Amino acid sequence: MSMSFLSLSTTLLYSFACAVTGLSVIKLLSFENRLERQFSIFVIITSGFLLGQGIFANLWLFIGLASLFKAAIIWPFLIIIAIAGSYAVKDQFRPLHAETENILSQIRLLSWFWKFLLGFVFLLMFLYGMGAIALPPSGDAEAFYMVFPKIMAASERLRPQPNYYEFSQVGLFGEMHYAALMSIGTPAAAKFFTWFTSLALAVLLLSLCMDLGLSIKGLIIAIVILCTSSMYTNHITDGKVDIYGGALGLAAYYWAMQTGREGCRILPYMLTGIFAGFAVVAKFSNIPVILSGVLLIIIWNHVPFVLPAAHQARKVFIKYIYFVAIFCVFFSIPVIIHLVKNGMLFGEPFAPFVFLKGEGNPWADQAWFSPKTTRYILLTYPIALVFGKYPMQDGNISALIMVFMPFCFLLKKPESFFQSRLSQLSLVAAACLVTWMIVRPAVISPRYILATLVLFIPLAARSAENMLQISDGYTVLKKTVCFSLIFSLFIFFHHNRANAVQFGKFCFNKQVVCSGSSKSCNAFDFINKTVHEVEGHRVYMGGYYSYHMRADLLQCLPGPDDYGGVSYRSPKERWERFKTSEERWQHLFNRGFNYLLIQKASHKQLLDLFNPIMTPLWLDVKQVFDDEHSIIYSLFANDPNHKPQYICAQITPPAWDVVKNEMNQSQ
Amino acid sequence: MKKQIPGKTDDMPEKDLNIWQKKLVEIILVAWVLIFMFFWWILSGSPGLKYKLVKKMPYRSEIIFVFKKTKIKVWPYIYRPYIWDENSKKDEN
Repeated sequence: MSMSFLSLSTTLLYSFACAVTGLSVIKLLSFENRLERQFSIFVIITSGFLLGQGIFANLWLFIGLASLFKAAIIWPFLIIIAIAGSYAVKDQFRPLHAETENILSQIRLLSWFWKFLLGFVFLLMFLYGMGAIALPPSGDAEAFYMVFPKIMAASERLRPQPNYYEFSQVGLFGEMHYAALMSIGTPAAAKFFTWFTSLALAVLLLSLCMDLGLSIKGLIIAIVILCTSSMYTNHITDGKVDIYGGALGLAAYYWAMQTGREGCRILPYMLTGIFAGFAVVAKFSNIPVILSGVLLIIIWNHVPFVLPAAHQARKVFIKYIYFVAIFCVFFSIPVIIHLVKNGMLFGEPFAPFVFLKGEGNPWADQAWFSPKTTRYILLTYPIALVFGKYPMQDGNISALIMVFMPFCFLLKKPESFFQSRLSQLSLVAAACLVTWMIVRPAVISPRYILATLVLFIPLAARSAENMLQISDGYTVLKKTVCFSLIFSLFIFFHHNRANAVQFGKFCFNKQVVCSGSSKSCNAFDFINKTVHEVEGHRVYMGGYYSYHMRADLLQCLPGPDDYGGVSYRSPKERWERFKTSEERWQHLFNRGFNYLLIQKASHKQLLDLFNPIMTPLWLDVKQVFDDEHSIIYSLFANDPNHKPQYICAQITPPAWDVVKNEMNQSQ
Repeated sequence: MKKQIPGKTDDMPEKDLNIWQKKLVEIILVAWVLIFMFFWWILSGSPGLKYKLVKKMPYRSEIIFVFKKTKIKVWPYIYRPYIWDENSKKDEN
């Protein structure tokens, strides 16, 4: 019980430190403006929280690069910043009570149906929170997004993940928070932080809807749509980092919508720039959509609907350039830091897009499907986004968006279509979606463009709200809409109700090893118990998912050096340069590997390449583990004259490195 | 950009339709909502029902309705194979 509460309190402190740090910076950037008079206090706190996340993520990046990523540095820093920051921004929390009271008074006036709906949403959000804490990472989080932080926290330094060497060129944002929280807390504390970030995304959506004039019922519909979009809910609990890119992207859109407002001066441009910068670093797929989306909104907000006089045109143009320049300066801050990181680690600042040292691996240029399938996907948009179950899609937008969208024809046309903020936002979302379909037609994954797809929610919610407000007629339709809202929440409740059970087990320390984990966990449990830490053995992993392996073993996973300097090859290609099974076993042994672990689902070709009978005479190869999903061989020399050329050793504790075996050289 | 007044949208509710037009619109929209909700429900594993109505076949372009022990193969739907899977099949051929 104490362990679980320690996890939660660590995340709470960390979130608070993020919020006050970001709020202090926003206070500095806003000069003398009283922000709370212009914006909701919830938006200010949420923006502060996300900005603080950006500051911390980049700080951890540099500390990690300097190999100083220690709990002894992170803890005092967090405590000092939480105390100093709360003193600096204490005035900014004052309107919180009044605004909360205002919202509660509106909720009190609602009928029992809307209160029930709201209660159901809260229940669902709590279930997602419980899942975030208690469920183990799954999918890609087991391969990279939580493995990289696990290695960083254990080694106290930032280095590429050996078995995902080139993929480590991605922008590191959520991973940095995971690493910090794993260093000072537990993996559960790290995953729980994603829940707070998902709440930030929800608050930003509601603020955007409020800004567009939706009433409290419209806001409830909007939050129901969000909570029933699996592109959002799946990644609160699975340990992936898509929520971070989504929340930052939505913050960029929100502040872009505020540009051009009276009395706002340059703060919205600064925040749009910095959030857009963080968003594209946190998720590369945001580059084509967020960048074009926010620039489109800013330009739209400055289009003079009445043509200025000739002598004023120059002034308007200069003002426009000035605002775009502010946007660009703030946008470039996170981007430059990311380029520095890639420059230091890989010598290629612009990887994986442009390579300065000749040929690199442009792994971001992906095509998931054949041209025929891609054409089929494009023809089925937007249905494919709602019902598609393509491999790696990993989540959909809520069907409620499609359900409510036709209701927009019941809305009366605005006075000016191009000056309507709702139509502006919806058209920008549509333009960005089309951009994505052009730029990445063969990648269908709503989580990749989460923030952009969320922009469709206000129109759907407003259309449904308007339909329910129609004074006479449509009685059956209104009841059907109410039913669809409840029913969609029920579907998601049904899928997530087990989270409460897992959370109960977590709280009372009843979770057994590998409970709720993927099937590959049992093999790692065996390896973790068999290989002793002091021995410095290496495990060759033929597979993608390694999260459950002990952190010291993770640091010595196979990397590019084990394949002659090239890392991004298929398992078959990597080993085909050796002609016989004996040569492959010998190479494994020489590289210091004492165990070969093969995950059958993805790397079963290795079973043909490594025949346990065809081994060198001096090498004993034994099958030590076999289940439905994994197989493990041990390989040890039966002749003491045979020593591996490389071993895994602690040269700079607590980090482990693959180094030349001096015993072998002395012989 | 026109300044938004909080709590007020820049559109006006309701279009002027006669009673028959309203009925027709209502029938179409109710059908639209129910069809989408039904598909969503079955593709989500038909929660609340003992039997899963739809079995998604990984890496295969078909969805099979399963009720009790009866299996009905349905139109390929929007589920297509993976390029890597397609390529590996080509390699095998």
